[in-house]
Amino acid sequence: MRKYCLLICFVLLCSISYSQEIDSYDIITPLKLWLLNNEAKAMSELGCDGMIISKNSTPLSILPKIPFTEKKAEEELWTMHRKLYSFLNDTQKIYDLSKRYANGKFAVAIKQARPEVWGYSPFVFTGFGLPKIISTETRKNFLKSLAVVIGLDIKRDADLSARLRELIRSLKDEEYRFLREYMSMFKALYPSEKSVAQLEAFLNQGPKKPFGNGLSEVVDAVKDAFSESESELDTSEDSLEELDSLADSETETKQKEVEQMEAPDPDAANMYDIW
Amino acid sequence: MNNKNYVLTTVFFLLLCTSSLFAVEIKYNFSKGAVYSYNYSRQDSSTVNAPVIGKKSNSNSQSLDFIIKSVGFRDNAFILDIGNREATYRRYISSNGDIIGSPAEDRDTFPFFFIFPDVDWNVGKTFTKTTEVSTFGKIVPVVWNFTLTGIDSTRNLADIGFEAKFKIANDDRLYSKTMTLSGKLIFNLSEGVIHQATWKSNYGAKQICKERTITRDLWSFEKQSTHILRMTGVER
Repeated sequence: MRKYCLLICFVLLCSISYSQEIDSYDIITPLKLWLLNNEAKAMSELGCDGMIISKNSTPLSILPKIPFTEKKAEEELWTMHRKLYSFLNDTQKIYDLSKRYANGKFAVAIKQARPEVWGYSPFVFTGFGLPKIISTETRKNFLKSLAVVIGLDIKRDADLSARLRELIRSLKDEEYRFLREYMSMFKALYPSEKSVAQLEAFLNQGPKKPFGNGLSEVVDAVKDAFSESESELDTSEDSLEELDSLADSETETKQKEVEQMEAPDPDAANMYDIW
Repeated sequence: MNNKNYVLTTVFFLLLCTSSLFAVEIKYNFSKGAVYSYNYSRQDSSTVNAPVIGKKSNSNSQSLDFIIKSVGFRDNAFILDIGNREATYRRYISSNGDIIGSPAEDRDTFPFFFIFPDVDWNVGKTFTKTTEVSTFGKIVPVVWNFTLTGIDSTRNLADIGFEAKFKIANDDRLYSKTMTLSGKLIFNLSEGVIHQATWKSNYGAKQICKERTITRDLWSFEKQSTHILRMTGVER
């Protein structure tokens, strides 16, 4: 019994430390949860009260059932909120990228990482030019895969400050001021919650001062890999394609079926991507 | 002494006459085979007020023409076909307005319908009816007051005022709301049908945020609905 208790305590401690680890760069969730909670409360109350009103609004038995539709002003507010949630998510992505990968340490780690060494080591004694070809290709594929995995877009993320400026510009002035008002309200209500202060500082300073310089080295490295192999992209098989080819035929056919399906509207996906 | 008795008797007789003059029985009296045409219009407006963005309003109005065809009278109920080209429902309505039967409709989905008192109604007298509305486990008592406000004896019309008081429990300190409904109905006493009715519902809600001693106004909502029912014609 004691063993089980110890095991549970260990698992809990691990999960707590892990959650702290993964949420260390989160600056939007408290604000979003607060707003979502209030929004849900308002929706629930308005829905309930709307039913009470509608059950009493036609008190004459000679009136037929009338399918009247009602346009609600609050829908405009919820639509604006959805836009703000989307904005916050994108802000978090930029912040995440700058904090995780633009601190210089990551660029150093990338420079030090040499997967190609392990790639060509078995072939060192086989031929003259083979190790060099393999190592170059392995390095390119490694960088390309890395860009995909960390969500790096070399055109978009070359200047994170500009990306943030562009994001803020995507909101109307009124919408941006609306968000700022929510942030100041949240700060007044929960002064000990520092995440919103961080978010506010990031939105204030980010567009003015260039940040994420450490990422530019990673971007440059990936850009080189892309530019070198750009002409070969259509013909050469990269590592991901090789992995795909290893998959069995059944998976391939299923994948083809999925590819044939209509792609979802990216804007619609954004709209509901509130978490 | 004799004169005094005479005066008292006269006064009593006059009072009796006066009270009978200002007391009527409100009841439906649809003529068999008659078709009553009505127009029902409704105007809804809603406003939301939020910080920075201020007030955002939305309004729309809709109108519907419908007829009431009186098929007959059986078992103390008028057999009425109510509707328009799109849909018609048969309802069995008693003379006080109570729905006795409605084969094609689910009674549970019916809204509240008020019923006229079965006794003579004096001008100024108020009848009260309490109902309960249940939504998502919440039960809201609604007190309806109907007052006969006047009788136009020359045109044979009775004016009835009505209002609903919603006893909403404001147990949530973060959300305060008000809900009212009031209106007026003109009943045609000679025809035994509703001539015109107008009523208005108002809803207001305010949401605040409170954390310890700090309070902030968040959003406020307002909704108004104006309903107008007018008789547009009778065909016999």
